[in-house]
Formats: sequence, structure tokens, C-alpha cells
Amino acid sequence: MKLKNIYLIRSLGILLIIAAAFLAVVLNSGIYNIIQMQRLYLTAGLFACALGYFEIADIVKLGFGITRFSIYKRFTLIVAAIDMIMFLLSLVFVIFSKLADPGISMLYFFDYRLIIYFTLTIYFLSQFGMFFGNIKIPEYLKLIIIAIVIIFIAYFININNKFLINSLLILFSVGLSIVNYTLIKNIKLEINL
Amino acid sequence: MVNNMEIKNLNLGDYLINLNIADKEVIGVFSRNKDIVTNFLLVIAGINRSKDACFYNDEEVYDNSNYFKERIYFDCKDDNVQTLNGEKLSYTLRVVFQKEVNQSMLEYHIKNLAIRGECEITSTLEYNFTPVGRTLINMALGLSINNHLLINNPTFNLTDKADINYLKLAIQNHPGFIVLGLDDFDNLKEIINKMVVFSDFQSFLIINPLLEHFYVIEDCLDIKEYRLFKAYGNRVITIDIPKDVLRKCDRNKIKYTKVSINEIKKYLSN
Repeated sequence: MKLKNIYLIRSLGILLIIAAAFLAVVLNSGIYNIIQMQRLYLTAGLFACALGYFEIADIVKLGFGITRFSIYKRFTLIVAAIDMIMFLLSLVFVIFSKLADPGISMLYFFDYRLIIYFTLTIYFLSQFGMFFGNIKIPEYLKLIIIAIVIIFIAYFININNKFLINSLLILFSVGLSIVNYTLIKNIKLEINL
Repeated sequence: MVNNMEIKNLNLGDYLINLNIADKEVIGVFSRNKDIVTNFLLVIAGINRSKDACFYNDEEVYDNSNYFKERIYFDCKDDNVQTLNGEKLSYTLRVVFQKEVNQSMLEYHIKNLAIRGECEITSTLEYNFTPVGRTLINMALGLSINNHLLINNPTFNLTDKADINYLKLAIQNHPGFIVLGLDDFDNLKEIINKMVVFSDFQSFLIINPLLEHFYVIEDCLDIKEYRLFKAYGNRVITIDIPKDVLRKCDRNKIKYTKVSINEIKKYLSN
């Protein structure tokens, strides 16, 4: 089988999983509120976190000609694409809901603070994953910290002051982005002899 | 444009390195401390920072996309390749790393080095290479890419002279410069234009392995600047020593023996 066919099958698989998860959310929610997308966003955030965790500068990538800068650029573009896909899914969710119940108020329904919060969650988790992929602490500690942060992120949805949460997420995301860029640009690769 | 590399006042551990690498030159890097060789290769490959000491066409090599397009670095100890399918390999390298592999040359190397015999295909279609096979497939792949090559341990685990001779010929015919982190002092010495040696005495020397004469001599102050490696007993292996220094050694009754490059290995202490 040709490699491009393998990539095509994988991409279709991912699309099917997203579609299935989206349908499950829509069919099971019964409540027309964008908050129902939270778990789907968190799943995407987890995926971005894992992607960041493994998207590190290693000798094979650098040795075969991929620069540190392009590793970081590619990762950021992928996360932006994930955010965009999730935003489009949210729009589809809104359209479905409006079709199901034409009487609902769009402004109430399409809560922009939640959308910003969800989008930032994915970006923050991706940078967080990358940060833990690059720093050198025991693996079990990394996993425990990541799990705690994800639980906190999920809990924040219940806090009404979304402005505060969003501001904090922006602050940490930007901070982690700078730290990650500096790390990936300067980290000295170890030799396993 | 002539593609060459310039290393100016590079500090690596206790060593100070100055070296020029011209196009089509084959450079061997040898030290008994393998860490130093790997570190040196990673720095000149632009993977680790050199603090403005390594230049390719007058540009700093660290994370330089132009330089990265024209060179590859790998270690033959690593499992870089997981298939013998030339089409799949060249497609992957083109898509993932934007490297053009000469597929017919790769298949030619795979066939001539009989790499298929050094590989077991499992029921799940995974390719498990023997230690010899791993080195051979890495070298076959590297030699099929039209880039400058920086290769660590190019003859790792190889014992068959026919394989080594084949690689020598392929290396000589490869375009661009080649820097080899030698795992063995002897294996490729005939094709090396410059042998870069990190001595056991914190000095950095560039020698021509085929023209240089070597001595095994009792260690003393007079030969300090010529020392290469520690030998058995209180002796050291040196590069060529000037006649006046040798006369001085004679007067002081210091014993020495002239040796060829082929004999060095047997005198090296552990």
C-alpha cells in the first residue's frame, strides 16, 4: 500500500472519530447550549497536549534536516488548525440547534466567553504538553502534574468569572509559548552512549 | 560556489578546534572518548550550539535552514530505518524531511551489501535488523542522498572486509564533504584526507593518516606537544617527532620505536 494512501486512511479515521464524537454530543445533549461541547474540546485539548509532549527536538529530526524553528512552527500551526476545526464544529452545533429549535436566542446560546475559554484551553494544554515534553523531570511526575492541570481546567467551567479564567489562560499560554520556544531553540541534545 | 565549512576557535571541553573542510573531503574524527566525537559532530551538524564558531559558506551553522537542506547527520548505532522498501524509504524522506533519495542507488546498495540477509521480517511485517544490518542500512541510505554527510560510527559492528571495502568505494564516490566519527582507528584510514584526533592529552591534532609517521615512546617533557594516545606501560603514542627532539631522547636514554598506522591499535592502552 502506498504511503499517501496510509495517510489518507489515517486522516479519514481521525475525521470519522471527530464526527462520531460530535454526533454523540449533539444527540445526547438535549440542551441547546454550547457548554455541551466542553468534553469534545477537552478531548481535543488532551490530543494537543499529547502532540506537544512528543513534538520535541530530537536528533533524528534535526539530523535529517528539520530545524528547531520549523518544529515549533509546525506544531503551532497544527494546534491552530485543531482550534479552527473545533470552532467550526461549534458553529455546526449552533446551526443544528437553531434548526432543531428556531426559537432559541443565538446570542444567549453562542456564549463567546465559553468559546474563548474552550479555544484557549486547547492552546494552553498543547503548550503545557510541549513544556513537559522538553523539561527533564521523572516521567511519573509529569503525568501526575498534567492530570491535575486537566482536572482543574475541567473544573474552571463552573466558575462564573470567565474573564478572570480567560485572562489567566492567556497569561499562562503566552508565558508557556515563550518558554517553549526558548527551550526548543536552546536545549542541548543529550547523547545516549 | 564552493561549499566549505570553517571551524574557528571552537571550544569543546578542554579542546580548542580550528579546522577547514573543503568540498569532497573525507574527514575522520577519532578520540578514545566517544562523547567528544559525538559532541563535535552534533556541533558541526548545527544541532547543538557552537557559539559563533562553525560556519558553512560564511553562515553560522546552528539551526541554519540552508545548511540543514544540504547535510544530514545520523549515528549508525541508531535504528533510523525500519524497512528495506526503497520506494517507501524515499517517499518518507521526501515527505517528512524534504530529502531526495536516489532510489535506484539505494536499492543497488541494499543488493550489493546483501542487507536483506541481515534483517528479519516479523509476522507483523516489522523489519528487525541485526547490528551489522543496522549499520549497513544506515550507510546505504546516507550514501544514496546527495548531501554532505556527517556520520557517527560508520563501521560499527562491521567485521567483513568486503562490506568495509564496498563502503570505502561508495564514500569516495559520494559528492560533498563527509565527516566520519570513527568507531575504529583502522577501518577507513585509506580514504581519509584528514584525520582529526582528540588526543588523550587535551590536544587537538589534524593528521594525514597515510603520510604521518608514529612513535611509541616513553613519556617525557620533550615530546609533550607530539603526544596522541596513552600506550601500555609508561609509554605514549606520538605523531612524527623532529630529529633534534629524537636526538635529545637518545642522549637521555629514552626508548622509542617507530610504528606504522596499522600497528597503533595494538599499542593503545585500555
